[in-house]
Amino acid sequence: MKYHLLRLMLLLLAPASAHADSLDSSDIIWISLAAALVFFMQAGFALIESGLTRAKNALNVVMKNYMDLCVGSLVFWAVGYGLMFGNSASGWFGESHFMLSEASNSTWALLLFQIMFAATATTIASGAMAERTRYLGYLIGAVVITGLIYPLFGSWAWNDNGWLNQLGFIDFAGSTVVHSVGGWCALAGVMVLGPRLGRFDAQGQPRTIPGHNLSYMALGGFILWFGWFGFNGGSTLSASADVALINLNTQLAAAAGALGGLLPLLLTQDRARLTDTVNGSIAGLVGITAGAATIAPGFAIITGLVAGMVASLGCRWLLRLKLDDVVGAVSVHAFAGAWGTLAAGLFFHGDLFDPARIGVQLLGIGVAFGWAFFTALLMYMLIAMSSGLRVSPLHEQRGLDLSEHGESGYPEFAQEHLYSKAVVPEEVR
Amino acid sequence: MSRSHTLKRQAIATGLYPFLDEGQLLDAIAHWQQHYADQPSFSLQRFATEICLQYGLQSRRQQIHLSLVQAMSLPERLLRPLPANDNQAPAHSHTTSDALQALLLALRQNLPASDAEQLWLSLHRYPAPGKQRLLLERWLDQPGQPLPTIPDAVLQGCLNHGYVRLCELYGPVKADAQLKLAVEQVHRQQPGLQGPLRQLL
Repeated sequence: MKYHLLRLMLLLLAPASAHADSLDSSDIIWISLAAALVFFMQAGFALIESGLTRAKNALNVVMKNYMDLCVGSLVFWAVGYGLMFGNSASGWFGESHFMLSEASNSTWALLLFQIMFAATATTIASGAMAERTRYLGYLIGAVVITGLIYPLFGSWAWNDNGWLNQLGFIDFAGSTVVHSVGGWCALAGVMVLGPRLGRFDAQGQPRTIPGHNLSYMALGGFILWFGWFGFNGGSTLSASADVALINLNTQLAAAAGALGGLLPLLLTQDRARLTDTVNGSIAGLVGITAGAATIAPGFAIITGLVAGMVASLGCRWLLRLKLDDVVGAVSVHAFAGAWGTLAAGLFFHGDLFDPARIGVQLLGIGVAFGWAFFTALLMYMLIAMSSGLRVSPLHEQRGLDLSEHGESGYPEFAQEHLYSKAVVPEEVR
Repeated sequence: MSRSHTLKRQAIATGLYPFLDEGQLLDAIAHWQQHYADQPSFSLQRFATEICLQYGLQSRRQQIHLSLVQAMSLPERLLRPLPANDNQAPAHSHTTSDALQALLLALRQNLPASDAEQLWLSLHRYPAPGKQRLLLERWLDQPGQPLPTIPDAVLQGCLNHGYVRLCELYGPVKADAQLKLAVEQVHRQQPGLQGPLRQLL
């Protein structure tokens, strides 16, 4: 009895010591490299979001991307990983692996890889909520998303004993687990925040607020696309030959997504816009993420094409609802992610259009929305009532670079004579 | 602010000094500046009455009036210096007031008449605290007159209130452009206001 008690205590103190190395060196190296690729996606997000905001807010959105990665990494290591991948007897949440300090090399590699995924889910909201969100309020939201909203749904879908996983829910690399969850949180944030000053006219028609550097957006799109080979390819969790098909599907879906993003414009004889093209390609990437390993290339193209269209049309629909999503994150991540998860069920290789599988996929999509959206809605409302979520109109006038950070993204250009660091009084900073 | 004007303010401070504490003195000087600075000397009687009513000094009204009249005829060397806050605040705030005045007039000039009217209406509705609201409204009704001394935070809030209305009218991109245009115009026409403008923005 004493021996068993001692063993139990040792296990509690060093929970990961129970883990044997399940992966060989090449697997671990591949996962570590893939983690680095997924990390690089943060730069892509930062460039896209910065490029799509006005010069006076360009730095603020980069700061949010930078810090949600940092805060998210720490919180996910401390709490999220345990909730998501710890031993889950109930199938609802993990109960071990919190604040890991001793584990196998396999676990370290997986932890690093999953930290990058958590940071990806978290950073999606920053672009949607850009140009009017308080920095502190945003970071508090990022902590809750990384520490609770994302890992809890993740445990249902990806934990070995997760209840959705047990039902056969397919989400290979996270169309729903990562992207839709992040997108639904973004939607909640956008709803609580309200639109930017003057985004809609008196008749409710949207006004265009162009981003300050669309080349940044395109460069960000390329970087995301590049990183996605690690996002999907690394999700094999081993250096296996499956990576070939997975990354081919990734490429094809992204390319088709760009076309899908343009299609509604071409059909309505509108001009081909870069923003819809880049968002379309990212939507294609989001869409294929669920089924990259389980569908054939032809279906990957269909998945990407439809995802691009969904993103493009979704942006217009949100504007009709007077929801101001600065970068189109809700359409690209939430809507296209939901479609991609459904597509993974529809186009499952060797068993197309299986109603039972499609039902499970729809259940997963619905549960993700119900959990992530409503929890995030409550969270952002609480933040708005406590620490504050939206900046004052004065800060919106001056730009968040100065009012939130006391720095300027473009001190020598832009509107230097209008707003500069030197003139912002202390009480405003 | 002219030298004679400053001397008159010092005289008011000297005349009221025996009766009011420093905070009351500052308010009284501001009140005089807003309502009596440009009035003939016999208006001191009415000013004294108002001050007495304001601070419950009705029984000393004659003494106060006499003290004010005597102070007005004292030589400069016998006048009390202005209270410290009063010495600094007007010089700083007044120029920021000038900047707001110039900026709002430039904004109004550059807008179509109907939109300019909308802007002015929204400025009228700016919920500035108490007395400052009255001062702003008075100036908005007579924009040719100098804008009285008002704290910077109120002036900034007023400008932002107008900016929000511009955003509603035109969207934030054109609102920024209009603001920028007005700032450039003030820079060109009144280069001395660059510093206060920065403070205001």
